[in-house]
Amino acid sequence: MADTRRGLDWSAARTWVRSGGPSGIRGRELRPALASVIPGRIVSSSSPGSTSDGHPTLTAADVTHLARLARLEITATERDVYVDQLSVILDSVAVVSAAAAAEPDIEPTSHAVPLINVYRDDVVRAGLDRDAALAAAPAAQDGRFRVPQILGEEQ
Amino acid sequence: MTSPVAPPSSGADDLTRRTAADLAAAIASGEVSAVEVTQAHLDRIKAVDADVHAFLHVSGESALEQAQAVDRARAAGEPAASPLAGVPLALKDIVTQQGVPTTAGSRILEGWIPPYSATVTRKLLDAGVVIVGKTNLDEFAMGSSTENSAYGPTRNPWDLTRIPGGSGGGSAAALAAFEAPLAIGTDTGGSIRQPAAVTGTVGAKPTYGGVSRYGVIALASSLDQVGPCARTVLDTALLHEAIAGHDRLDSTSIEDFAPRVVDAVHRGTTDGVRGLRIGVVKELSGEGYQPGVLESFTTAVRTLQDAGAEIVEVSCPNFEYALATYYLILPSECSSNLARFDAMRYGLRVTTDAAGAALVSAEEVMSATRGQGFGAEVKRRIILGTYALSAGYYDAYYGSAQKVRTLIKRDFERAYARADVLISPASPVTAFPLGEKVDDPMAMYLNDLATIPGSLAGIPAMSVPSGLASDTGLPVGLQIMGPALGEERIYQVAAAFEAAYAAQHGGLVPDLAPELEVAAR
Repeated sequence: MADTRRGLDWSAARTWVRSGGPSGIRGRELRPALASVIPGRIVSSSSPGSTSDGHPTLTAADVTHLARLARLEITATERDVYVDQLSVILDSVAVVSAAAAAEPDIEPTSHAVPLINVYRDDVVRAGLDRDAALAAAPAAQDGRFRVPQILGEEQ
Repeated sequence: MTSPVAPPSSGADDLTRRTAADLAAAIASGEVSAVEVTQAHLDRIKAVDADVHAFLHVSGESALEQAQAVDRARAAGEPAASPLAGVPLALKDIVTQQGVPTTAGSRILEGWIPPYSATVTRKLLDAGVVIVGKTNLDEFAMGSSTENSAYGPTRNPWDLTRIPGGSGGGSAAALAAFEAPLAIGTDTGGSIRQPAAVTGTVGAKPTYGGVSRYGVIALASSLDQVGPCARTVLDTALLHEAIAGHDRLDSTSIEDFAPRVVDAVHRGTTDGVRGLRIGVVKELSGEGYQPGVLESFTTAVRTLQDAGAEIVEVSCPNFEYALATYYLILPSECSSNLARFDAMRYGLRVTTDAAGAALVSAEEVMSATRGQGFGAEVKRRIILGTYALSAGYYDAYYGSAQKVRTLIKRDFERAYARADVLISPASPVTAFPLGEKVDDPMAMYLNDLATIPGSLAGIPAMSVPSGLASDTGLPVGLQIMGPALGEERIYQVAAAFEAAYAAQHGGLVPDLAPELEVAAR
């Protein structure tokens, strides 16, 4: 997997979408604009990495740190693959930040149909039965979930 | 509508070849029993699923019990519970069914038995639909080929060396292999439409909020939608009506929205598309699309034109950003949603490290469990999402992506001012060989090029077979997209197209699927 980056390329997609016409900002023309949109790397305090054209990119230390934040054990091999793959993905998605920055007054969308917050009447209703909830637990004791130690020695 | 032509090697009395509408009518009239119909499909699964691997779990016993209940009700003179009573259905294994294992295609949920049923499952059972099993999918619905399933890939019934699409490849393959006439899928970026396209079946993604997601394991909550899959447009519409509707248990569910899609199908079959304006999206064809797919699409456009539609070209320039926007929103939301798999309350718990030493703290157990329980694509997206949501990056990534969604939505709104529905190919390519893209995430992501814009805008969209590609001989899907709440329009156009195709070809695409070897098992 050493050469993963070569296969990871959205250029075909970018080319065809760019052929759609000259409206708005496009592809690689955005690169200079990105520096002002994406802040410097803050994920880890080690020396910043970047691609040849000045994009923020990920280091092995970043991936290790992110995996730890996500409580996700990964092997050294996985880490190295992800460093390459995620850097390329991040490079490809950077156009989004610039496109959004080009239209600063735009509102975000999260739903196709406008919704307001949903409430129900404040009445007592039966929930999931305790034994049913505990039936799938990896470990249970005295009607409760049994979990590993949560606090460290010093706490 | 022209009747499908039965393939030469299967008798007209083969129950697995019939449509859901036809089977329901036969059961209601007493021509066959629901038990006979269910047994025929269970036999078919037994005969072909070792090769296809559409199912992760077959619920033979409970399916026959459900069928018996339908037969008993009929014998007692009760009216049918629904227009689909007694018809078998394959349920994507990300939708919970009480008492039946649900894995989401992941090791982390291996052996988990949900203590409750999804609203969709409950509605199906109330409608007398018979759930024959749970279908394979990419782990937590992340993928376009089912190769990310922890339990091995599903194979495309059209060519067992090729992918059935994803993430709902199991549901689509079950239909194409005649293992069930109905299936449930979920669509976040194309997981209903792309598998439908590459297996020659029909699949619809409703308007976001149109079908309850309660009890469906969440991937990306601002995108996920449950939808119906079948081999005909009418069957898809019947299933759509059975599952749609407001649910107080899903806060994103739309109130007072019950599209009459079955009526729309009848309208499409009788009145066609005369007077409708159909927009061809300029940005959803051309480079990146397989020649055979484009050829089939061009023929489909001509068919719709001949059927009386006015064809207009529309441009959606911001679709350029759709794929990149999606790959910021999806990892962000999934990294948050998948935090619930913490080894504490249900699912896998790993308590020793690689050397066999006991793990002490909850954090160590969590980390080891997630490391072993999740596959490569899931981990990749969790890490990417964790990055995109981290302090200082949120505005540049997730925040920007939600804004670009607005730009894409506006493109759609402008297009719908000129056209009643929009069309494009549903998948840029026909089914590709297993293993071809599995190590190349970006190449895999490109499979959802045509379906993602509709997902981001939350609009309804479906894939209906447009024929076989001349270069590969494999099925091609026509995507039909409507404005938000525009389900009836897309079903009308889909039904009109299907009828025109059947009139031209003397049958439907699923009937052309190769016979699977069923002997000597």
